[in-house]
Amino acid sequence: MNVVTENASEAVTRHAEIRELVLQASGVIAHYWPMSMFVHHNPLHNIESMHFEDAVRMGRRFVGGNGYLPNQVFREYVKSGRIQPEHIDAAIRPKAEDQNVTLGQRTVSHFDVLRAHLLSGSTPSAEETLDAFIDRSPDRDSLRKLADHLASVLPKPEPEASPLARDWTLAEWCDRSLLTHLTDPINREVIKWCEAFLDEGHAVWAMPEREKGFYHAWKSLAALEWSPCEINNSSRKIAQLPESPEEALLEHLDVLGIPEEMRQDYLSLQLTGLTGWASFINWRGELSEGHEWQEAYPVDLTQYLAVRVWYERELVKQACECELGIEGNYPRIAAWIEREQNAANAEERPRAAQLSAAVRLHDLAGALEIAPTSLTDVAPEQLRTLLDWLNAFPVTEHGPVWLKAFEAGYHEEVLGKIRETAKNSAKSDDAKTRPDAQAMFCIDVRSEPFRRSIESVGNYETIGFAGFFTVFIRHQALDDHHFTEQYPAIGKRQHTTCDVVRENQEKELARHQAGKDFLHTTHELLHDLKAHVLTPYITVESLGWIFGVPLFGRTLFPTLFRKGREKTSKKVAPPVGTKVTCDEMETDDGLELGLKLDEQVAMLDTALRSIGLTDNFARLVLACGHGSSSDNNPYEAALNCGACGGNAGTPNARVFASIGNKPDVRKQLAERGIVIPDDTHFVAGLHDTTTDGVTFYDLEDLPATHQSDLERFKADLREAAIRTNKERCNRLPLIGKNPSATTVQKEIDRRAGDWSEVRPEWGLSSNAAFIIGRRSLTQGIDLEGRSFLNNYDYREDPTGELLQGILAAPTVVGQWINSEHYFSATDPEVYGAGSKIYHNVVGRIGIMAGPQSDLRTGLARQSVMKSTMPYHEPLRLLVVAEAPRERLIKALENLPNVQALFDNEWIHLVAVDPEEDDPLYRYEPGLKWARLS
Amino acid sequence: MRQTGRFFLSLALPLVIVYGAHELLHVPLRESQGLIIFLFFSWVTASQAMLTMYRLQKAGSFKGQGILLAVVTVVTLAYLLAAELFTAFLYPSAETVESYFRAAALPNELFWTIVAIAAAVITVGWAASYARRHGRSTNRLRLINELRTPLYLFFVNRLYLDGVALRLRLCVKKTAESLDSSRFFFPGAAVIALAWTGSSWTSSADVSIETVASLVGMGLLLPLFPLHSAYTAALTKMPRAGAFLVSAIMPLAGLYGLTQLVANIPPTLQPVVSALALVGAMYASIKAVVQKSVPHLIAYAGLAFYSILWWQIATVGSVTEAAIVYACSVVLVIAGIQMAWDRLRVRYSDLPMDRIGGLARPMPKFGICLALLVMAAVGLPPFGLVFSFIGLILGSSTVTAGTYVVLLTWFGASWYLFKLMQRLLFGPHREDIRYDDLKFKEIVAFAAVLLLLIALSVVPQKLSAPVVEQEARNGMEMK
Repeated sequence: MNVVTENASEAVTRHAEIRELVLQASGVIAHYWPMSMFVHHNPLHNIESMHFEDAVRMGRRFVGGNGYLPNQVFREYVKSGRIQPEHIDAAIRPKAEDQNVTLGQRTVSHFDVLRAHLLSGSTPSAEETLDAFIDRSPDRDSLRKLADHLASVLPKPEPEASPLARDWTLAEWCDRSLLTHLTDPINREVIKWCEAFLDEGHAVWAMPEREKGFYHAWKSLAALEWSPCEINNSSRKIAQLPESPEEALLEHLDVLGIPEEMRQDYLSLQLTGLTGWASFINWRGELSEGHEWQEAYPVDLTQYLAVRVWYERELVKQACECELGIEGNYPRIAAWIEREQNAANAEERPRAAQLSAAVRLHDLAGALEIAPTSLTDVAPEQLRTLLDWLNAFPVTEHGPVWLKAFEAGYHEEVLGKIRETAKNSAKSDDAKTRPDAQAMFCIDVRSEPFRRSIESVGNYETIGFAGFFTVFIRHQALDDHHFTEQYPAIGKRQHTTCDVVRENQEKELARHQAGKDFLHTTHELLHDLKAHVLTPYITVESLGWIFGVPLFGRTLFPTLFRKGREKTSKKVAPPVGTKVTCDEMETDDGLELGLKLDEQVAMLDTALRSIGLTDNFARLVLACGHGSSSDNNPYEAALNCGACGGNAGTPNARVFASIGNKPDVRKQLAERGIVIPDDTHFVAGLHDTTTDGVTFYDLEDLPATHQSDLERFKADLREAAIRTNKERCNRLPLIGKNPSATTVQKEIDRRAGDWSEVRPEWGLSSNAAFIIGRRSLTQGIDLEGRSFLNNYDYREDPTGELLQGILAAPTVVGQWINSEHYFSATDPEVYGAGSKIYHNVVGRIGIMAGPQSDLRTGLARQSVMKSTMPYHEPLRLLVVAEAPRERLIKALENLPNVQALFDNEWIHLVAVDPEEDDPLYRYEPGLKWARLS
Repeated sequence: MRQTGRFFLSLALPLVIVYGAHELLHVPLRESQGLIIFLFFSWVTASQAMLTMYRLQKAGSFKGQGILLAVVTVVTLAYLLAAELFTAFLYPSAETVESYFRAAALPNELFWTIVAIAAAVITVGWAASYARRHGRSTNRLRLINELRTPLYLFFVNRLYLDGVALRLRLCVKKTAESLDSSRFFFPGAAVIALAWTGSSWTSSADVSIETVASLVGMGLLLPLFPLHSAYTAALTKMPRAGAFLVSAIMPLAGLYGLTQLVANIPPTLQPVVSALALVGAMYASIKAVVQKSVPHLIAYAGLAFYSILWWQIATVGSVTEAAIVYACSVVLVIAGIQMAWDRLRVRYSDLPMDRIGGLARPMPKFGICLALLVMAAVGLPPFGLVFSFIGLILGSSTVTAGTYVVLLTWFGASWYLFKLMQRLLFGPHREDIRYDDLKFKEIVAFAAVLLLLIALSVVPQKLSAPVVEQEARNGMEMK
């Protein structure tokens, strides 16, 4: 009995250990949320505790992604003047030592060499192609002479370390060295099972036995398959696998002979084989608490690896036995590699190294404008020094230097503008006039140009605030069967709300429901007839022509068709007046809805204080969420409000406005020092970021006294929309410069409804800065739609609590958004989702390229690239905070994770210290500041 | 029970409607199997629609049911009428229509068996879904459920077609590799060729030594198995310029010689040449499939293409215009691909195929040229090779085993040449190579080859047009 207990306890320990190992290995992949609630995320999020440059290197090693733009693109920026020479010099200088080399009559400094190398960027050519390269060169004789000249000082080349199980999986090694095809079939099989298992209602025929969990469902079904990817006796082998996925994974690793110290890296390599699917499973396994599909069909990375590594184990075994006559495990393969390396002709390598060095020095001489032929007159030791400098600064390490120079240009421009306004802002007194209306918009970069336009058309004040208005709700709209999570991914749900029909709307409701019912039935009927094996024949023959109408309409007259469809939809199911349940109540089925009164007061109090809106309220205060209009766009959620979980922010705005209008709330708020005048009315709105139209909600509650205010405000918003659209059109491709207002309107409407449009709007592309401060700091500055603007008045926050809140949540969300765009632009294929042209929606969870691929995470190429150059300039987020430095330091000390982001240079921080004459200070790692002059 | 009754009603009612419509219209094609198929599908569709209404709990709605049945009736009537009118429009004679239907019909018993089985499977499927939805479980249902998993796997694996294709590919590759690595491959192929020629040998009476010697000479120039070694050695071992020239001059000289010689080839030797050509085509294809060295692959591809030419000349007994165009096209295609490889060799040394790839992005101009040449080689119009190849195939009056071997050779060429292109242009990309795309002069050379290939598809037809017209006129006069 004791033996049994001991065995069981050993098994538990073993399982815990393997799970911990998998957890550690999963550091190199991020979490991928389903596309319906697209969450902008950093693909290297799990290694954010590392320095940015180290994390990029690690991403390169495991995921194969570039964390910097190609050097060639940076050189294009130098040519175009986007990167200035002085910024390049400043970026190189910390790397350069005070050393010189004499080349003939010229003295060349370390700095000169690094600069020339960066700007010319010659890559060393592969040894096996060197002879051909030199033969084609007009300087072939001098190159060979130079190689001879270098022979005495070059060390003997070291044999290269084997990448087996370190950079390559065993299957990858077989593919590269034995020319087998193992990785592709493994990926195909794993994708097949992931696609089937993770489906969330998309597949017509769902995978059987999913309720057993991924590993067990696979074990049951794969054993019945006919020879998956040519594995012999697969049924028997699968049937013999252990019942627990942990034991199975351990067995695979043992059979593959992966040494203990290499297992974590090896599993990381396995996970990055299909980063997208693994990231989604990582999310399902770790962060999808309460997700109904995960509860019904559990999956995690251990199960995933137990399946994936089995294919590798079997295929590598077969390939090694067949091709090399050895067992397919690490020790045997490593021994074979060593034997081969020893047998390889090592005599040619020194000569190749000399030729390679000669070519590199020759290129460097060209870049330094020194005659290459004169290099043979230089002492070999001096040349060796040059080579050492080049080796210490290889082209793969140019990215960080380029990035610093690239960022410096933007920082100089934007901080220059802010410096001016900061001085004026400090000088200006605070005498306030009452604005005609105040409008709160999301901090989203798309709000900035619209806010600027609104302020330019009348006496309006605009405010930037996280678009969920600090209302952490899940919400159910009138016709929805499911709740949507209306808060940032890093937050937690606090309340539940839903739409309820207003009084005296029974008749409208009946018509609305009948219409919706009809549409639902028609949709389901057509879906069933399309999805059946036999019925499409007659369905297409008899009803196919009906689909011709939308086909031609959407293609040829997208705007007209969109408007027609909206009208028809309204006719069939007329809208019905609703309101959102704000007050606490309980439904018949026991669901608790709404917020308690003190919660409402606390929420409003915090919200108003954090944006500095504690007095001088206008007659109208607009709480404006945002959403986006597009057609046939799987990335719809990416264009919606990230702070509202990838949904439109309407419910949050309605709840906020509704609470703001409550007399009880206002009364308690007044006791806390915020007096909202009786003639102030909060209205809810939705800003459509594709068209810049604003839709108002709950106008039934608007007092008659405010009707004229609203009408005037609406007219000004329309004018502001035209101005913003015009500005936006200059940035969109294929429109041309200075289009007329009519052209602009037509183009914007088309993009919102055209199903072939890959770029309905630029979304959050080009984001680069996050500005925390009073509006006066940025008012009147054209920030080109690149800045998140979060209102904050340091005078209202003596304790720094509000600042801490902004740094902890909106800033972090801004960094996620920025990182997602950054990496999608630096490597659109690996970190981005590639071209939209090939995208297919899979399982309602994400997209694949073509019929079968890795789950594509990140943003599509069209979202970040304009032709061959990036539209989104990949810059790390610049956080500018108008607050005393001590308060910022205190906030960071209380937020170690956020401080780590600054210390590890994932984001930059600049303080606008209002108590200083020269107010700009750059944050330096270790809670230090450097004055920016 | 009431629900079950509704379920069966929803299966029966559409059947009544479609059959009623069919009777009402007095469709004369009612006995045709096509119409039965249509009625069958109509029934399945309508019944499925009704079952969906059940699922949505709309079946109780008189309005919903009424609309659905009306739609089914109208669609069936309209469709049958349209089909009838269209058939009558296309074929006014009823006899013609009937004869077509009769010709296309399956044996009656087989047809009705298929219909009955399909109907039974569908009905059982519906019944099983219905029973499961209502939580009923029986032994029969369990049997159906057990069938579902293998069926699911069958479909999720795309009917195992990928698996079959993969096995086939691996089987061919393994066979080719083991043949290639065997030292008996060449002698074995030679023995087979000799045995085949021996079986075709009738008499040596009309065979002179001069003719045989001339044929051997031509076989050395225009490569013919087993005399191809000179050609393959020239392409793989000679210096660049020499290989390039010889690869074009040798086959053209051989073809020229053959045009002079072909009339003197006695009928006894023709099957011998044909057999050698076919064995050569297979031998060359197998060798090409396993090559990792590009020059060798090109050489064996050339041998395979020229073997087809030899086979056609031997079969027809003359060098036709199509054969000349074909030979010139092959010369151009082989020279073009050879030139493409040469451009890579000059830039990056003589790397094996697996050490270089992904050139489409760093060398787009090269990529386009190579892709067009490979397309020309595997039969993409408007290049001359495809038209002349079709001309060769059509030039032979009968379909023999040789025709199949030739077609296999052509498919084989599509396989390994595509593989070459795929590897070089889209294979793994190396970052440690300094890429250098084609220069203007090189592009001009490729353009010239491609233009000549296009010209070869057009010019001969233009040249021969007057002759063809004259022949047609003569034919008319004869009538």
